[in-house]
This record gives sequence, C-alpha cells and structure tokens, in this order.
Amino acid sequence: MRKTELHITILAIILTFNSLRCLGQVDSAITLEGVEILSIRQSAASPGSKSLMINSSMLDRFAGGNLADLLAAETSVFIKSYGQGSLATSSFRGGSAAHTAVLWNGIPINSPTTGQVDFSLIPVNFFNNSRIDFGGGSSLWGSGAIGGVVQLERKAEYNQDLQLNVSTQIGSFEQFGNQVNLSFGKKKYAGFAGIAYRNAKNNFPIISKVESSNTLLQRHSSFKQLSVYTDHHFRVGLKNTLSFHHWSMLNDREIPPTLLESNNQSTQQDASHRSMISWLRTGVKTKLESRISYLNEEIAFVDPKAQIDSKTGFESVILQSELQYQIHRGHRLIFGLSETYTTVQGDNFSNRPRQNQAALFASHLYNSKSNRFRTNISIRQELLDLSFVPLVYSGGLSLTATDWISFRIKASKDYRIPTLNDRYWQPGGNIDLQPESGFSQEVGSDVRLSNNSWNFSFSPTLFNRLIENWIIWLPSEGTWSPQNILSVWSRGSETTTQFGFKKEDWVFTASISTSYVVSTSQKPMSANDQSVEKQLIYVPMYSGNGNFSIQRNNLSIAWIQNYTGYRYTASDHSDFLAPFWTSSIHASWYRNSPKLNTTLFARINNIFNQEYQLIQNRPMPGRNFQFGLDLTFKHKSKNA
Amino acid sequence: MRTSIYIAIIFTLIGCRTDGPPIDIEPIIMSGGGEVIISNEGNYQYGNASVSIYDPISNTSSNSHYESVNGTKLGDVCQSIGFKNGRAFIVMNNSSKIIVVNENSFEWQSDILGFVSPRYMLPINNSKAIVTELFTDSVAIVDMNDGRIDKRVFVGGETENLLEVFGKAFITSPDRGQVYILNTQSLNLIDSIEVGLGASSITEDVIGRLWVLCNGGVNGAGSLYCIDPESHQVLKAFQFEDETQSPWRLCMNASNDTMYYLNESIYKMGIHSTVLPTEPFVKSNTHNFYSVGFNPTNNELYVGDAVDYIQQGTIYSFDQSGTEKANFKTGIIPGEFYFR
Repeated sequence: MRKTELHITILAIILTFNSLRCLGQVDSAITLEGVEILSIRQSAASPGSKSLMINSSMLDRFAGGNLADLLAAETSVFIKSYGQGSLATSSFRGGSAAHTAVLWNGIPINSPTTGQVDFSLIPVNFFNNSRIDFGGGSSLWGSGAIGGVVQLERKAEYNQDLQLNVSTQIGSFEQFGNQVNLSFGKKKYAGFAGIAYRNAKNNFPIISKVESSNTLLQRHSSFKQLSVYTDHHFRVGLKNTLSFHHWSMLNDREIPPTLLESNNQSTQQDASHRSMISWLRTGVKTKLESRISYLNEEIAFVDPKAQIDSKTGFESVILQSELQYQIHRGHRLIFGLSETYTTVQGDNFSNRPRQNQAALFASHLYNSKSNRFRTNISIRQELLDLSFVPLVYSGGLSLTATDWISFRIKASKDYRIPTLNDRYWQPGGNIDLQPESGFSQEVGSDVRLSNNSWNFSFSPTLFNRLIENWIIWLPSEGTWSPQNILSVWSRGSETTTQFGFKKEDWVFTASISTSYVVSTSQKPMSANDQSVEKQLIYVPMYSGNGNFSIQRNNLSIAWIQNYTGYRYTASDHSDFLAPFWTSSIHASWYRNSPKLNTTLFARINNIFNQEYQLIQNRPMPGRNFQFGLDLTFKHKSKNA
Repeated sequence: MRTSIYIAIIFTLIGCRTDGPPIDIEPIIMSGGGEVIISNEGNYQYGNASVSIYDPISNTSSNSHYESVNGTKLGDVCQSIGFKNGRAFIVMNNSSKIIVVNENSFEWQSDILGFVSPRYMLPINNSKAIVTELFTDSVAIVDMNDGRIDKRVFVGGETENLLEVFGKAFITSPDRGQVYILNTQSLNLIDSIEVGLGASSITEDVIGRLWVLCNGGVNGAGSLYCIDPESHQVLKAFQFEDETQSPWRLCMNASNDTMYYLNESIYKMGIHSTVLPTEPFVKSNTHNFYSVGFNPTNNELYVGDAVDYIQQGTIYSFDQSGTEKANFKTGIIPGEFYFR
C-alpha cells in the first residue's frame, strides 16, 4: 500500500470516528499531572518529556499476557517479534533494540551482553505502575536511554485488605496461563507476592503464500514461562521506607523453523533472578533514595543440528543513590551516583570479562508556584572501566499555557556504551569501541478539553536525532567484528489522540496513536553501499494503532486496530515486508461484591486472519481466541 | 474543539516521504550459451537466497531469476549449484534440500529432501551424485533420477568442496583439516590427506595436480596445499604468515595454470610459483569481496562484492591486467559463479 492509499484509509477511519463525535476516555486512564507520585529521577525527567502510563484498561486487556504484545497493540512502540513466545525487541523512534532502556524500580535490566530486553518474557500482571518515556534520557537513566525508556514498577498499596487474586486464561493453539497473586497492606506495611505460569504449544496454522494450499502448522514452537514476583515495603518511623523486591523467571522455548527451513530443533532456556533492597528517606527539604540490587541471568541455547550447546550468563551488582534537596521555593537540586559491576561468562568469552560502570549525575528542577512552568537541566558523566564516556546533558521545559493546552520542549545528548558481546566476544570482540552518542531534540504539545460528559486530548510530537558511532558488526580481516561505523539520522512525528464520551450508563472511549519515523543511515560503509539515506531495515516509516471501546455497566467491548507499514529487509531496499493491518476485539464483564470480584473476558486476535510477518519468513498466527477468568477474594481485616 | 480536531487530523497524517519499495525490473530471458549464473546465498534464516543470470555480451542481468520463472521463493541460503544432463541442482543449505530445475529455463522439476545442511554437489555418473554436508560428518549419495538420497557415507568431519579425478572424489573437510578420498565406484572412503584447518576450495591444475586452500580455521593462519591425486602425497605446502588473514575461494583460469583466490583483496598465483604472492591482483579497498570466478569464455575474472551483506551485491569483471571491464548488481551475498 502506498502512502496516499494509507492516508486515505487513516483519514476515512478518523472521519468515521470523528462523525461519531462521542468517543473518548472518561475513566481514570488519563493521568492527571501532579496526582502521580514520582520517584526522584522521574520527577526530573518529566519536564519536556512525552510519557505514557500503561494504564489499567491496557493491563486488563492483556491480563495474563506479555509486555511485547501489549506494547505492540496499545502503543506506538514498534515491536520486532520472531513470533508468538519468541524473542521480541523494541524500536523507539527508529532506534535499535539496544536504544530502549528498560528499568525495573529504577535499575537497568537490559542484558549487558546484548544491550536488549526480550519483552516477550515480561509478564504484564506484576507491574501496575509502569510507564514509557519517549526520547533520549541518558543524563538521568544512563546508557541506552536513546530512543526511549520503559519503566517497570508496582505500586505499594498500604492500608489494603488481604486480597487473593486467581486468574486463568485459555487460548487457541493450546495456550494456557495461570496466575496467583496475594497482596496485603497495613498502615506500615505493603506486600505483594505473585506467581505466573504460561505455556503454549503454539502450533498455529501458517497462512502463507510460500507453501502450497494445504494447511501447514507451525512446528517446534512451544514455550513455558514461569515467573515469581514479590515486593515488601516497610515504613520505619515517619521518614523511612525500606523495600525489598524480587523477580525470578524461568523460560523454556523451542525455536521454530523459518518458512524456508525444513526443520529446526533448537531450544533456548532463559533464567533470570533480580533482587533489590531500597531505602527511601523523606525529610522536610530532602529526599534520599538508595538501592542495591543483584541481577543474574543465564541463557542456554542448544542446536543439535549445528552441534551448538552454549551457555552465556552474567551477574551484576548495582548500587544507586539519589539525593534531592530543595534549595529554594520551587527549585530542587538532585545528585545521584550509580555503580554497576558486571561479570559475564560463556563459551565465547575468555577469562570472565568484567565491566565497571560508575556514573555521577546532577540535575536542577524548577516548578513554578502554579506548577504551570517546569524546567529541568541534567548532566551525567559515566566512567566505563575508568575511562570517560561522553559527557551527556539534557534540558527540558513544560509550559501549561492555558488550562487546555501545554507545550513541551526537550534537547539531550545521549549515549550507549558497547555491550559486553561487542567488546569481548570471541572471535571478533573489539575492546577499542567508542560509545554511540548523539543529540536529540523534540517539541510537543498537549491539548486537553473536557466537560462533564466528554473529553478530548491530543498530543503531537516532533522529534529529531542524530546518533554517531552507531555500532554494527562487519567482517574485518576474516572475522566479524563490531565497528563504530554508522551515523543514523532519525526524525519524525508522533500523535496520540483520545476521545471520551459518557451518556447515562454508556461510556465510549477511543484513542489513536500514529508514528511517522524516517531513520536513515547517513554515511556509506563502502564504495558500493546503496543504503545511504535509505530507511534502516526493520523500521516502519508509518505505523499506527487505534483503540475503540464501549462500556455499559459491567460490560465492555474494545476494538483494537493496528497498522504497520513497509519494513525493508535489505539495506538497499531490494527486499521488504508488506504492510499489514490487524484487528482484535476484546470483551469483558465484571461483577464486584464486598468479598469477591469476578471478571470474565474473551478476546479474538487478528480477526481477519491477516497474514503478516514482523521478521522475514517468521510467520505470525492468524485468527485466534482467548478466554479468561479472574477472581479476587477480599478479606476485610478488623482494624482496616 | 473543532479546530483542534482538524489540527489533529493534519498532524496524524503528516509525512513527507513516500513509503514503498522500488518497482521491480522485468527479468531478462536466457538466450542460451555464454551466460553467467550466480548463486546468491542470501541471509541465514531470511529466506532471501536467489539466482542471478548475467549476459556478458549485452551486459544485462536478471536477478531473482528462479522466483521470476517459478513464482515462489528459492529458499534459505543458496550455497551452490550442480549441473548434469540439462538439469541444474540448486543446493539450498538452510532449507536442507536440493531444488532440481531445467538448466536453461530454470523451471522447477523436483525437490530432493532429507539433507541436514547441504553444501556442494558433484555428479559422478549419469545417475549418482555426492552431496557434502556441514553437520552430519558424512556425505550423501543422491540418485538424481529418483530424486532421493540413496545412502550416506560416513567420513568423520564436515565436508565442503569436492571434485573427481581418476575415479576418486576428493572432498575437503574444514573442521578436520583433511581431504577425504572416496572411490566413486565403490563409494567407500579409501584414504584421507591431512591439510590445513579450514580446508575449503579444491581445484585441479593443467598438469593434473590438486590445490587445496585452507583458511586456517578460527584462530589459525591459512595455508595452500598442492596434492598428487594418484599417490595422495602433499607435493607442496604454502603457509600464510598472518593469523588474522583467511584466504579462501580458490579458482583456476581457463588454461588451468594460474590460480586466483580471495584474501580480502584478490591474489593471483602461477601454479609453478614457489612463493605466495605478496601484492594483490586487485585491491579490495573498501569493497567487501566475497566471491571469485573465472569466465573461460572471455578470460575475465568475476568478483562479487557483498557490501554490508544485507543489500544487493555487485559483481565486477576484470581482464587479465586487473582492469575493470564491467559491473552489475546481483542478489544478496553473491557466492558462486557458473559459466555456461
């Protein structure tokens, strides 16, 4: 589909939906500024930023699912997936998978060996307070926060009855999901413990033009995922909060063959364990947050055909401390330090490479009295194995001009250090690599209009970014080796539009996100290189999603529509993947009583059985169904 | 409200670049004789392997030739092509099969299945062929008429390139650094010759000797061996000095007295030379040379540039003095040349 055609389609949708005039969002999904309680760094990151809360409606629609599916369907983040249950990585604003920093309670959980996070392994149900920050944020969040930041968090719920939540999902292709969550809060304690198990045979029929008309089922594609999560918060005295967090995951999956492979017997097992102790002290003018965490991950990959049996693992210890001090009314200073020590081992590393990252940052935050004008300036210096990486800085400004429109502007210098694979992989690792770095700018606006029965919000953003020293692996002297070769210019626009309308028992909501990203390589790699000034491979120029829901009393129905444009699979654009539309419908019913909340849901994914691929020759499932039941038992404690 | 909605619409639709791929060029039709067939490996698991046809006389080429003719994708990693009795046998490494097509029209005839990771095919008579494999430590004996694997002959290592001399197949083994010798009548392993690690290319010179080029494996230095196919003795061995170099892709000129190989740049060496060449025949400069073939029809050397491995390659042809004669685009990662 060509651009014009796409535009006409989008226009048609918008006009249709415009004529209804009554779509929108009236529930608590829109986060009101000033209402959320932000962490120290989050409050500094906020001026000038575009951010998106992963709200409860999104979480409900993806109950029992993984973050990759949620982000792909509900946000403008592009998810590059090898298939259901397989590796899924993100691309923000034309960045690479390693250009998304994923933070868990403030600490980065990107793999130090690949720089990436596999979003298919992150269950959504543990994190009810997650957000996405778009754009560069290295000065606050560190290496890799170039395209965007995904923050995974869970709210501490004090003074809450004992709740036992049991939920189960059944889906096509022998998909099963089960979760048990227990939460409890008193005046000085908030605790949560959850366990989730998900498995699927995943033998979906392949709708494909490649093979003949007889139905071919996806083979060797099953997966099992077990996750355990717990949070404990203790209020000590009036000023201190001590928290303990732990998150473990065990995943076992088969790697399916591509459409043109006859078979594949590879399997992959991922195990990760993450623990953290954090301490928050809140004074009159100061606030101090410190945390220590230990991360341990191991990936075992077995390919009997190629006689590969490899294990790669790493351990990290991360120490972070942030101090916020109010110097004057409205003015706050923030100082932070961070120390990360990582060791990695595997068949392709010799002598257990170690890495030491130490960073210092400082930030100034200003909030005008009315909170209409907010600014931030931040600066960060990191030392990688005691050598300086580029000094980075950022400045952001938010201005609420009237009660219905606000503006934001942000500029930053960002960086990403080379991964441990880039530096130490044998053969090929290049210890002399420079960090990737570059500048980005963005401007945006947020329009919010509402009255008692309807609301409307519209947030356009324009961004621009140039990253130098972008690392790619190229053959050099007979072996593949990473080099600081590319220079990538990304620019584009994003919009988020929401409508909400409420009449009597009816609530209509609609939201549309669009993304236009031009991400081009600016420098030729060699004499013949035809990729210069062409869109990077696997970055869609156009993508968008829409979400339309109707709710009446206890029943709600949502239609989720996604569009992904052309993605090139050859850097000179000689090969590509076709654009596709997918549609899903989600219906849910709930009933709440003092002792028991019940929710039932049904979902149809890819209603029109659209054949599509996110990675060349990796088929995606056609129409499929999911059903779920969620029960929350509440026990009223006597003194609550 | 209304204004903001219009602004929203305009903004939602903003975009100044046309999306969409370039339009395909119509494939040329093989005129018969003198064409160059190029197997393009494509990327592992991308399924973008292809075959290109080039006509040196008109300087025109046709890419994705198999797909144009048959309407289906070729498959995953096209390693090589074997030819016998008017048929071409396209060895699809990661699709684990051999696609049999008409040699001239490239129309699909059949698939030979049951391989694991096939590399090269050598027909030894009108019905049988030997197919080397990367992972099975054996070679497959294929019945080309029945289109199936007759049996496997265990050799003990990876097998790569092969050729037949004096009723014996000489098969290189990269991981074992061996040349395995199979009797093509009895199909028994009769001997092996130790050469260097990373043994891949094998070729025959004008006086009947075999040359085996070894890339040295992952960390070793490359080597070049000259072998007597009758006595199975190593006649000469040349050692490359620098461990970071990986020489490969050995080929002979039309009179089989001069060899060419790739070691980033292209090197040329006479078969009677006592030393390895130090100066390249054609310098790679910033090119990513990946393949070499000698066209006996016009005495030109064809060299494939794989660029960044994820875009169309370029083929250059050079005359005997190393002067560029022509260049043309091919598929992704041009691997082997066949001159018909």
